Amino acid sequence: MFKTIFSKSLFTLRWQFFGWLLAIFGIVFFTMILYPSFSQDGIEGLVNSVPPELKSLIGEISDFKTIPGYIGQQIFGPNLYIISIIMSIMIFLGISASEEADGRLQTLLSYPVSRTQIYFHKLLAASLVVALISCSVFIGIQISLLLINETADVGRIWESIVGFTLINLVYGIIVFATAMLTGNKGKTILVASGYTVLSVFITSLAPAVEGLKHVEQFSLLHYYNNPQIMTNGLNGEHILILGGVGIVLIIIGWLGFIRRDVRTN
Amino acid sequence: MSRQSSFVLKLDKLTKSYGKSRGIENVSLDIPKGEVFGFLGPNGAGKSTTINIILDLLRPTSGSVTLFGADANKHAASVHEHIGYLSGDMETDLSLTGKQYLEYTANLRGGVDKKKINELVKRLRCETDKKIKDLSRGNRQKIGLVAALMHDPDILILDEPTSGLDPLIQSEFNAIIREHKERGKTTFMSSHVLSEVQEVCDRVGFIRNGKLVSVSPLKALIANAPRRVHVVFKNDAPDSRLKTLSGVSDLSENAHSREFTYKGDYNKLIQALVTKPIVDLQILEPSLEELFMEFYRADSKEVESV
Repeated sequence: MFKTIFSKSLFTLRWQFFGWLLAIFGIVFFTMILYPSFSQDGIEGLVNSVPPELKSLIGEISDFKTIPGYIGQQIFGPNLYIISIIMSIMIFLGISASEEADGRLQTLLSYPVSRTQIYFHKLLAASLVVALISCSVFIGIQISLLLINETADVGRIWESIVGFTLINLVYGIIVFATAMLTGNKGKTILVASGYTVLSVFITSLAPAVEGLKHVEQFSLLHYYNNPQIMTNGLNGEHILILGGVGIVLIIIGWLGFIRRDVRTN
Repeated sequence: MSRQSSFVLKLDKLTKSYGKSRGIENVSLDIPKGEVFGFLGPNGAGKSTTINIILDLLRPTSGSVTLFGADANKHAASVHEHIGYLSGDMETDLSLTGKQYLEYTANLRGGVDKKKINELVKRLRCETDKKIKDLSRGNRQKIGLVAALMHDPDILILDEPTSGLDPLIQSEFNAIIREHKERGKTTFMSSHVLSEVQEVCDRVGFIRNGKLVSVSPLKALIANAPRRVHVVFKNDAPDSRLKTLSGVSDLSENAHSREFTYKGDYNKLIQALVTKPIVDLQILEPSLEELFMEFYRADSKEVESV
């Protein structure tokens, strides 16, 4: 059953996988089911009453009136990505810093396995789990579209899923690389949660706050769904930036992990 | 990796410093094939730091560790094929059953004979169907012991291995170590159970404040150690002779009996004692525990005086 560190890591993540899969699928499904209500005129007054500074958080009224706009704003917007990034952080944290904090990593390292092997097997397992959960959004959208008798461009949905998966992975990789670089769970949580909160704050408010515009590019969320993927498709440059940041972080984490002391009791 | 080296394990001026706090300093040690080596010292002396460097969990500040002729830090994964490791506080995925854990570790090693695993499980009376989280500390430790022994390692590295084991399993553990030695295999163990060290070890090393201060064959250590002498005289004791006899210390008097520590020529001791009629005489070999206590008494006095 457990042939490799990769398969064992998948086993370790099984409950997180099923739990988050259900949660993300549920959010997508119920959000989509509510589309007919949101597309009614009644919601217009409510959206228009929101101050301009907060518009970037809830979107424009026109976004609620079309399926691509609605999916882009409500599924691939802040409502879901804040939750999915938290999911990704927890999954990557569980497989890295938590295992070192409780001594499981030390036991594993006493076997004939290299640190590189451990690093990449764990990274692959957590990435696969996060990617599968992210892809479940596609199933949630398709089932609910059938139920509400609507259609959407499948290609665009997949493009959005790629962006969504990538942003979740990059935030997870920030956690993983920090954990493997430092071996310290506290520092990892501080770095990951601190950067996530800051980037959500910057990306949400930058369109309305002049002072945040010059730091906007430091938030990785700036390179996701900007402008809406569902309407405009993937931005190749943004994908390259996210992918590049992910790869650089993976290399930094790996180089740090193979060189440093492992925490011992 | 060269297997020709005459020493299985070689520590060469191994130093690990943690900034202000002490690690180990210039620890050098050679462990030949087939030896059972006991690594002794109080908590914080540097035993686990040394073992963690051997296992490549920690990287030395200077010095090197050679296992089977290969650098244990540069070639950790291949060196670990020959190691069986168990620590007193072994941690693993608690949601696995013992059977799943052993299967996993066997897969990590590769080429492990399932028969060997089953033999060890039976011998140590392991509960392999329960989840590890539902096992007592001793039973978890037994699973760890099977994982350490399943591939018949060339060297066993044990860090307080029998903590939590009941006396029956401890005795079985000692038998396993002896059989391991009989097959020409090596063991490097740190332990607080000094009776166990005394029973299985060929040589012991004492580490104090991060420095290896003494390495000696156990038999020689005990043979050269001072004896505790208890003698009961029929009437008066030859106190003036005892007090002037070289090698006598800690002399206590109680009516006709005298107790003291002696290190020196036994002929001279007997000559001094037989000047008065003797009712009873005992010359006791010290236990390793007494030697250990004697060895580290100076440390505790230092601590007390701080």
